[in-house]
Amino acid sequence: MPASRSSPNPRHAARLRPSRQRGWLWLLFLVPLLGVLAGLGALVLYSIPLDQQIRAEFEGRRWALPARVFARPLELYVGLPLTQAALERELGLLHYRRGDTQATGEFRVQDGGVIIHTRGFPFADGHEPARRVRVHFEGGRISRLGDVSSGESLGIMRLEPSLIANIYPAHGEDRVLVRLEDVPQSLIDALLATEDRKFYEHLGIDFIAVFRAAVANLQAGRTVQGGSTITQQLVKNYFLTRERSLRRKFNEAIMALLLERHYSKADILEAYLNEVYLGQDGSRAIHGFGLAAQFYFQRHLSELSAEHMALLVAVIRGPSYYDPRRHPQRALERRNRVLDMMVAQGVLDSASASQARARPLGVTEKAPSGITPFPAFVQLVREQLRRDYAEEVLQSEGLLIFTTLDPLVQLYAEEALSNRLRQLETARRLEEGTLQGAVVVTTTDSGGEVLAVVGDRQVRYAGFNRALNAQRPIGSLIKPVVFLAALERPQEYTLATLLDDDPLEVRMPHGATWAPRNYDRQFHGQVTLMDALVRSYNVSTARLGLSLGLEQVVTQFERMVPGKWPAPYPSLLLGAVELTPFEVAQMYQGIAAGGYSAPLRAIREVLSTEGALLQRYPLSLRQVADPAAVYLLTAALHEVTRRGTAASLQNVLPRDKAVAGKTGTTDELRDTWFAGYSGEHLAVVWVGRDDNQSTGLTGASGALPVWGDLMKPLLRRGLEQPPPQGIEWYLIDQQTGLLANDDCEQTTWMPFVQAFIPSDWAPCARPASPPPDANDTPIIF
Amino acid sequence: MLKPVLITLLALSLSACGLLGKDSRSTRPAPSAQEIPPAPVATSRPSAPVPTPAPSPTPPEVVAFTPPEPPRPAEPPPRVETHPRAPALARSSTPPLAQNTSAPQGSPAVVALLQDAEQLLERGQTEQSAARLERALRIEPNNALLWQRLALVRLEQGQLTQAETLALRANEFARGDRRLMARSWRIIAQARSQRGDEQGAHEALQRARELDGAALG
Repeated sequence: MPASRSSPNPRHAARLRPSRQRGWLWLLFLVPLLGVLAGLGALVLYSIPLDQQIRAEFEGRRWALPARVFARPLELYVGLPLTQAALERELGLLHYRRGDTQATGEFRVQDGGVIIHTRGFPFADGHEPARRVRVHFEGGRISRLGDVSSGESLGIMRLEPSLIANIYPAHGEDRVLVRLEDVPQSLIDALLATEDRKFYEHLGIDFIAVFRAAVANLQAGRTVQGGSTITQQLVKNYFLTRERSLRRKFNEAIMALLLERHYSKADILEAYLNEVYLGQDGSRAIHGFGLAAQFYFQRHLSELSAEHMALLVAVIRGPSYYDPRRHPQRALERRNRVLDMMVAQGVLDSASASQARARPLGVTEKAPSGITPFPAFVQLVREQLRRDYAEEVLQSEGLLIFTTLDPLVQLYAEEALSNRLRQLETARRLEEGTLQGAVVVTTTDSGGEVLAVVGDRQVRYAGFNRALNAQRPIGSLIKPVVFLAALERPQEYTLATLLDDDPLEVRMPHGATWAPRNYDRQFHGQVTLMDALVRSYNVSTARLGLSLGLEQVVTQFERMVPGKWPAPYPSLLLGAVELTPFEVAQMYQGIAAGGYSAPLRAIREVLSTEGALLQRYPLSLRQVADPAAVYLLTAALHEVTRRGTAASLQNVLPRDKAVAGKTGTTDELRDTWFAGYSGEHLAVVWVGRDDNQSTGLTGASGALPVWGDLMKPLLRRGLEQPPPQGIEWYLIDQQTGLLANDDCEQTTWMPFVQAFIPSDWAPCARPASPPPDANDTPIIF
Repeated sequence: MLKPVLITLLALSLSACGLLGKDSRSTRPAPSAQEIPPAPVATSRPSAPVPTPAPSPTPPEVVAFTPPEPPRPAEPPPRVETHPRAPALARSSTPPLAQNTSAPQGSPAVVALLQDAEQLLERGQTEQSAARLERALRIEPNNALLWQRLALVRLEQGQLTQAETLALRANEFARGDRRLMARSWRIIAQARSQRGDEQGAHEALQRARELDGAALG
């Protein structure tokens, strides 16, 4: 063993070559000397590949880091609609704890506000410092926001984004890299006190420790103590094998000496802190203290107290044997022994140690899953990433992916779907689990950001993602596209234009006839365009679409859902086209955003593991419809939620916050849909069955209640599409589509493009009113 | 032989004059991005390198936004109780009558982000500037100024179609602010001109000038 010390590397060994000696007497010495030299030479030759190997491992070490996927950071500012309960829920997701807020990651409720000691985060566009902030609420909004230490008010700040997924290879190591300066000194003290007391003195091997361990093991008759230094353990971790041969031990020793020769103690210690194996989560190996702190305690390294550090150090000896979740008693004893050793080494005073000894392990009950809690959303992220990044890159480069997921919205959507489906099944005496569903939520206006995706009522289950992959006929959800195509011709169609809802038969090319019927099996004569949509009449819609021309409708459809060209059959007008809930969301997003569609995005930006911006996914807009036509359409879709097929929302949502939407039901009640939007959120809900059998539900009784449940906690801003120039509102008689006044029985307010208002008064209003003309009609500008 | 060349030159100069019009600030056929007067951001920066449009002597009259009002003959008051819907939609459309400046009506958060965005744009960090503006838009998606500044950033970056669409979007939220709308049309004019659409640029500039004229009364 000592020989290896003198041949740490080949260059050095070369200098040891002795000068040539002459004289036969020296032969007596020469033979053994040659033997020693030959041995040394062999050792040198033996060490060369080991040296290359260990240096390549150490320097060229690029830890395979999985990509980290983050939710949107919660931005806090005065005026933000946010309740204290919602903030506390967000803090819970970020694993903040109630406490005195002396340490980061703690919060407390005090004086009607919340004090948070934030952790800070290095965002792409600037570092968010860790600080103590005070948040006050009033009327469902943040009313005051200030820095506690400086006492100054804050304009805007961000909490850190919560980690929602890691992109791993099927099997592999996982770690959260830390820099030496970010590791608490007391953790290093605890580590060295237990594992390697002479770390700063030895040259890679601590012979005294080896001897001590050998004696202890001999006395005990089994292995009770290890003599490996940190350096040796690092080497062992690099080439982790189960092999326990002498040859391996020998190699490890040589490599440890070589490492010490080439690199500083700080480098070796930092590598060790990131490399050491500390646990197992299924096929995922937990490496390094950074990840282990999260894995066991849901804390950042800087938030650990003495007993946490002692436990992490305790686990090193046998992550499986001392697994604190599976063998808490063993882990506790070992932890307390570590605390004792810390006291013995003088790195912890005995008072603190006995306090720490009295505390429980502090391990979270369940390991934070390496698997995402939001599988449907993460699948969307991965699909969008796949366009730009290879799978190996995602699994190994440690990319930081910032998504648009709003965890609060996601949780509301999950609860709305799973609770309501259970209720529907109970109410309809369906077997539990019969119904399935999907939800997609996006922003209405600020650029098509996807806030939530639910693809299964078992929301944590990463199975078939109905939101992205279930292609289903959309039924009446298509009607807004037909009506939009009409309203884009303001000289021909207004909301008051009368449509014919009498029986219709269309002779098809192959001889069959197509005769659409209304859901209520009735025909309704002359109805206003608005009413045809509000009551979702099929016959008048079909007639409207046919007179517009099917090609026209197909073109409008493709503008809303790029790349989709449905076949131009008359049945298209009633929704005989299959879309996924996600595609429906894209279609309605253009309407919700006033005719300016943005491709739905799940990713904001991608950063390298060092925090350099690699790619932004910017907001981009495309005009898909005339804003004036969309404004009229929204007015009609709003009416749907007031007195149409979705009128039941009136009992669920506050009436002073306007929403708009459309129900959809397909043949035999197989699919039930609702797509709707407020001033802030667009949500699409599908409810159906995987076996494509009848649900016995309509859009109004199946999907709509889910939508209502979802919007109830979310509805903070009603519709606020500004009317495009030249829009005016008039009171209209529903019977005739003509101008009405108070004398008329059934009236509706309708917006009109200025030049195309109805020219006449309805009979109910006529006796009192002269027919208005351009000069006569008082329009207030 | 020279004749067609001369005619072409003449035509070009005429069209240039036409584009120039009476706009004394402009020396090129279409205004450059720098010449599009930026909205006065509510900052207290001492050296604002951007010209601020002179305050209008008279408040601009508000055009084309009609609060829901039934035709006069029968003079029924708006039936708020029985038709909460129409007022609900239309109320949000009521233009801020008193507002005669284009200062951002934004919250302190938006103003802070907007200031950052302006500074980043001045330093040429256009994408960072865009990121700030997108952040601000998440807070106030109905703020016309934010859409317009984003249009300007895209124009700087040469993303001409985006610049034009974003400027149009800005005007959807302008709520009668003519000066803001005029600025958007200048951005559109510039984008079209850079795309080689001189006719479209001319029309856009025409609209800007009409709006400016109306704004100045």
